Amino acid sequence: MMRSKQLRCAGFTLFEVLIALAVFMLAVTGLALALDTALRAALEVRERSFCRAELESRLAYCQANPPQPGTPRILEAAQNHGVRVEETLAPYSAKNRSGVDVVGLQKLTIIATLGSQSDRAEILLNLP
Amino acid sequence: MGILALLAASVYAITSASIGASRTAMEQQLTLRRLDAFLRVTRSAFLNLPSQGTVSLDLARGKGGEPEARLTLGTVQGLFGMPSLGGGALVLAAKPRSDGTRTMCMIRVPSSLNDRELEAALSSPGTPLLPKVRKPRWSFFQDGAWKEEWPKGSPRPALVRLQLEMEEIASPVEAIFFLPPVVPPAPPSAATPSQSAAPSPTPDPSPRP
Repeated sequence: MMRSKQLRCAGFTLFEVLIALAVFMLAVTGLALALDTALRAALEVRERSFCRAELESRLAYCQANPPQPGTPRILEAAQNHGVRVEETLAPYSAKNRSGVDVVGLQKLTIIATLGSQSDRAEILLNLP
Repeated sequence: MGILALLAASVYAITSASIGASRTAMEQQLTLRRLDAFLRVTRSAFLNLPSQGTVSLDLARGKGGEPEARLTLGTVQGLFGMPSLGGGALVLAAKPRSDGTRTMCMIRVPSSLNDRELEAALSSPGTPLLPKVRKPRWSFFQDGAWKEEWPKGSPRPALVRLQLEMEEIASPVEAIFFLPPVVPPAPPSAATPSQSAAPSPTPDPSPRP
């Protein structure tokens, strides 16, 4: 009788094991969520970095070879190492200090999209 | 006992997976940062190319006999944040590495070197800018088309393109650099005495961002 009472006191009850398992699962879930967030952030940084690099490259290209005014030039992601690029050139009106329209001013807009990231640049080109 | 073993195994698996994923992410971040810095400094070098600066590409044999593409920015005075070379040249070379990849390096070449010293300078490791590069390829944009060759003495191209692959980056990398066009000097006009007495305009020495 005495021996069986001692044995019952030495182990864990089912309730204690369940509590321990629940705590462990909470910790594991937290760790997995943190890891997932870190990996998503790394992927986002990577996409943003590529988007920006592509935008700078296309900006350089358009300065030497701009798209036709009014006709967007589109590079699909499959043909452009994963980055979709849309370039448009539209007339832009602005006046100089004498109030006269500046001739040949065009607004170049470039939109680069990679995954969930999108980057945009707008500059004015003087193309007389 | 079995439950304890399962818990220990799952903790080990989760921890090792976390460490592995973190290490991969950090390596990718480092590669991206290196690539970004390399592209920024190269873009700045092309943008600040002086009016007398030249661009040429030659394929030479490196120390181990492997072909080595060398992009030469000639007659430059201060590029890549380096001080004046007195009209020397800066060479961007893809030096082979022992693991089969290449390192993009910058080599400073003073102008007054004989052929032997020039070859020795070009064979030196130079300043490494971007390691673990595969298949680097330069091309040059002129008259609406990309050209693979740009020998010495050619006029300055409108654009320079660099294509390469990197170990930690799955997709190939492509960067296009704009070169400011050389504007011919304005013809001398008959200036009035008061105009000729005015100080002549000097080019803005401040580098472009």
